Amino acid sequence: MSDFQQSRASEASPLLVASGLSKSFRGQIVLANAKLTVQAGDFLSIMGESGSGKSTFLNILAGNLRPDSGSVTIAGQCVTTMKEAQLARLRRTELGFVYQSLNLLPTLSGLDNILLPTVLDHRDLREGKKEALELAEELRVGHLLSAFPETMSGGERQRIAIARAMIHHPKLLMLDEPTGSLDSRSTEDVLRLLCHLNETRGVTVIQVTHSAAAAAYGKRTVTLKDGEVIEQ
Amino acid sequence: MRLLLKHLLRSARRAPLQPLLILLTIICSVAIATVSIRMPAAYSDHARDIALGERELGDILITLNSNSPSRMLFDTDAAREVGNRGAVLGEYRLTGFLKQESGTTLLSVSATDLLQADRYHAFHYTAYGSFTAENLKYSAILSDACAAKLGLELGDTLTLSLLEAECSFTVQAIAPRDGLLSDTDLLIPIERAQAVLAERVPAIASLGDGFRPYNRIAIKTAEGVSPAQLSEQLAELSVFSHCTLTLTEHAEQYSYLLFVQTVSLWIPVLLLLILTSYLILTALRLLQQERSAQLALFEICGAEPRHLKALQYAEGLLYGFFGGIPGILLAAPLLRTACGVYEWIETPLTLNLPSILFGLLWAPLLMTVCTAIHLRSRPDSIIRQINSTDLAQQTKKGGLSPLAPLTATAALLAVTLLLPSAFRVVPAFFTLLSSVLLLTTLSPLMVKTAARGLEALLERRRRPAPWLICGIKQLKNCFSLQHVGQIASLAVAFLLTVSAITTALTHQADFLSDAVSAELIAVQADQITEESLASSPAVEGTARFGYFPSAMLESGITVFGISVSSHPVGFSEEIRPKRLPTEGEAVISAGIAGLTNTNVGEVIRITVNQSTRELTVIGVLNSAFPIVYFTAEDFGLSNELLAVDLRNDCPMESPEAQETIALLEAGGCFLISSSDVFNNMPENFSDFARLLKMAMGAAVVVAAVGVANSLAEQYRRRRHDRQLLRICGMTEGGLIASQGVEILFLLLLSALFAIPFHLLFCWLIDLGVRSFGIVFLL
Repeated sequence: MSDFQQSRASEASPLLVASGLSKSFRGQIVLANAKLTVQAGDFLSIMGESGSGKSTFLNILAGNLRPDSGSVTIAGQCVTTMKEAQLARLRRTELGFVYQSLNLLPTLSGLDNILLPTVLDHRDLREGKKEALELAEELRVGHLLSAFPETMSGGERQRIAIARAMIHHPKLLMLDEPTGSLDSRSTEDVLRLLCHLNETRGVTVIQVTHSAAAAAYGKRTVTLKDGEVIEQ
Repeated sequence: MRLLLKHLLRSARRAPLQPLLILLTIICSVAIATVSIRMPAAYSDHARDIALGERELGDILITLNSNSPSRMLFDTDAAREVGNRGAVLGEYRLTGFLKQESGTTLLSVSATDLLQADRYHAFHYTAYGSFTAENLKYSAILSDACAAKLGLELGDTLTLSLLEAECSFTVQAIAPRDGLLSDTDLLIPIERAQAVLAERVPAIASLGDGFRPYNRIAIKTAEGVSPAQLSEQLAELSVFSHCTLTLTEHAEQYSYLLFVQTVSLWIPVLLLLILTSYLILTALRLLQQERSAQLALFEICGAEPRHLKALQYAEGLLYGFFGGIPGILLAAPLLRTACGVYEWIETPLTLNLPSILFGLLWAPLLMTVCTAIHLRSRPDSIIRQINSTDLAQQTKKGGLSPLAPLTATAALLAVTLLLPSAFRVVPAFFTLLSSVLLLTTLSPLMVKTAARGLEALLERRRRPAPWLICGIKQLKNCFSLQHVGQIASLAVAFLLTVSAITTALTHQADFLSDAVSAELIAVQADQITEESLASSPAVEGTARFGYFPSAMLESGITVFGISVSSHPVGFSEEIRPKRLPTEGEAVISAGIAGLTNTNVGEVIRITVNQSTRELTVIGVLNSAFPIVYFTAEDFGLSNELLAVDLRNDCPMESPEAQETIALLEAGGCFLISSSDVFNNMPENFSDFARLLKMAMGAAVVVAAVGVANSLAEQYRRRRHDRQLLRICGMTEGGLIASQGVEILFLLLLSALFAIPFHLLFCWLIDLGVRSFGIVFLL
């Protein structure tokens, strides 16, 4: 275990606690009393059939969506009752989020996309650029910093998106089907990267995936079925 | 194809914003095009009255000089001398007041032999009663425009106040306008005028039937007869020794002015139509971006490029057809508004068949052309385009490179400057069009460059404001925003240019309208009358002057000319030179001095009524209006007009002023207002300025629609981007501020960028109109 992992794992309380989450769309129940606990340093995969509510669940955990009932706390802060400004701050400091696709602003270069959280948090740009360069080298996208998303492959875009989600050293990295639109080689690439980040930096990773092979990269897997979270 | 059309209609129904905005733009375009076809025709018709009325009256006009011992002309004299070389028509022009329920209208009345006038002009009557020997003496003939203006119909009775005598007439015929029947003229029998005059001038009462008093005689030369030669021969006769014989063919130059006026009406209209076309092109491009995935699906299902092109042409035609009729319906109230503004235009401003047909054809034609232009810039395969440039639609550098319009503008400008002034209008016009294109192609580059500069400045700071730097970065690379900038730049440049033109026109119109402060202007006032006036207690002073609306300078530049006797009382000091020119001298305004490169002490060549003289410039007036002062004697003319300035404590209604008027009329002269003398061109200027303002208003609406459309589309398409920014930690307030920065900077940059182009447009327009001798002083 790295120092990072050790320091993160030494925290006694879990990093994320979700309890009693319920959500329905147009009368259709998506989540029914779902609960989940994630420890710091964990690498969790959330699986489920298509339409089972995985993405909805993940977005509620990240605070991108409000549940009908229940609560989610991240690092001791209750996300479900937070105001938008507080949520925004949380996203800039503690949380990183990556979508399946369309993760990058098309009008910004690779570097600018990575630096977004730094800029938004009003941090030192020069320091931010140094970190971005280091991160980009680590994620093997250093050659894409001045390129625009339109010229990148799917895998490259996802790696830039992960770099953006990691620039502010979040405690928690959430990914919604990060390899869903990638080929097998890029998929493996991205998943190895996530493992690397989890191991070396101690960042807690929660990924939503429909692929058992992708889930196997994680340390723990849960399944969403009939609106409930089932441990495997 | 049916399936494709079904898809088309359903797509429009599902996402109606872009299609509705395209439709709205087409409707505006059709309305503008329809009005623009109708207006110049009406404008020209009216301008004909001013410019060509005399030309249609005859080839030679004979009028009395002010120093003529006789106050009358006799057509028998002219008829005897002219013989079979031409036809002669005499008219006595006097002022009449028509009293109606709505008020009193000042009219120019021409008293003539009605039957002879009919033969002379061969009126093609639109309404004809029945002339009899009994009713002829009480009949009046009106032009259709005059009848419409006064609300008179065939058989109506009208009561005219002629020289304080009340005379009733019956409208016996209505005919289209010509030189004798303008929009303010009506014909009455000379016998009635003779009867009225006889009460004032006993000498007239003693005239026999063969001698009718006229103050103007028109001669139409027969075929093969030279008007110039006949005029020279008549001038040598003693009977015309105190007369001025004018060849009306010099009025042909007014066709030049008519052409200028009609063309100049078209310039703002053309720019407006270009703006609407550009907006439609933008909307088509945005629409395609929106539907690129759908089009790609068609392609992978086997649709050929020609099918997809046909689909887009079909969509364009549908917009055209659906936009045509509402556009014409919009044109109708616009024309009615123009009627209210241009009440002097006698041609009823309503839609006629040619304008309706034009409007109906314009919309589908416009859409077909815009679609064709749009399809030229689009690759044949949407799939290949999507796969290779996936997210490129928003960052595409699309559109024309500025290199081509820059080269074209430079080349055309060089040609314009190399040509003599008289030939610059065509290249100047094309340079203007090319520079409009240059503006639209340079605008995105300018926005990008400015944004890059701002970004570099911001990044020097260690902690730049997130909303500011995010907004600037978006501005730098976002194609849609740059499109908005193009529209905004074009609109601002257009508005500034039109404002400059209207300001210059209004200023010049005001300047000349205020030129003469005298209350009365008398035509054909003789010396005796003038001396009597001098001793009148109501009169401050008089000034005899001549007014020449078409004094031609070198290179065909036409300006106003005035000849004024000493102590020009009743003339505005702004328009008066410090020292009046004597024979062989001239005073010119600063604009003319610049145009002809003439300084004090140098010679300037002036032509008035085909007579050319070289005069020495003794002074340069600081006047906004192009005007020259010279002496009438230099051109063999005389100062026919007398300005009578009343004392400040003697207003027009006062008994003393009325007595002065009676004195003037008793002397056989007739009174006209200074506006009749000086307002023709200023009126045209003012009306043209109003028309430009209407065009400006239309441009504001069209540009605002285009900008709103692009921004709304932009906002819609960047929904996911906003979500991305949120998950990166941007607050709602930050998002709003960032977008506000984008829009504010964009509009500010576009407006600033438009300014140098506005200056260029003004300069080019100035160069162009100088070819016609018009000095705008923009």
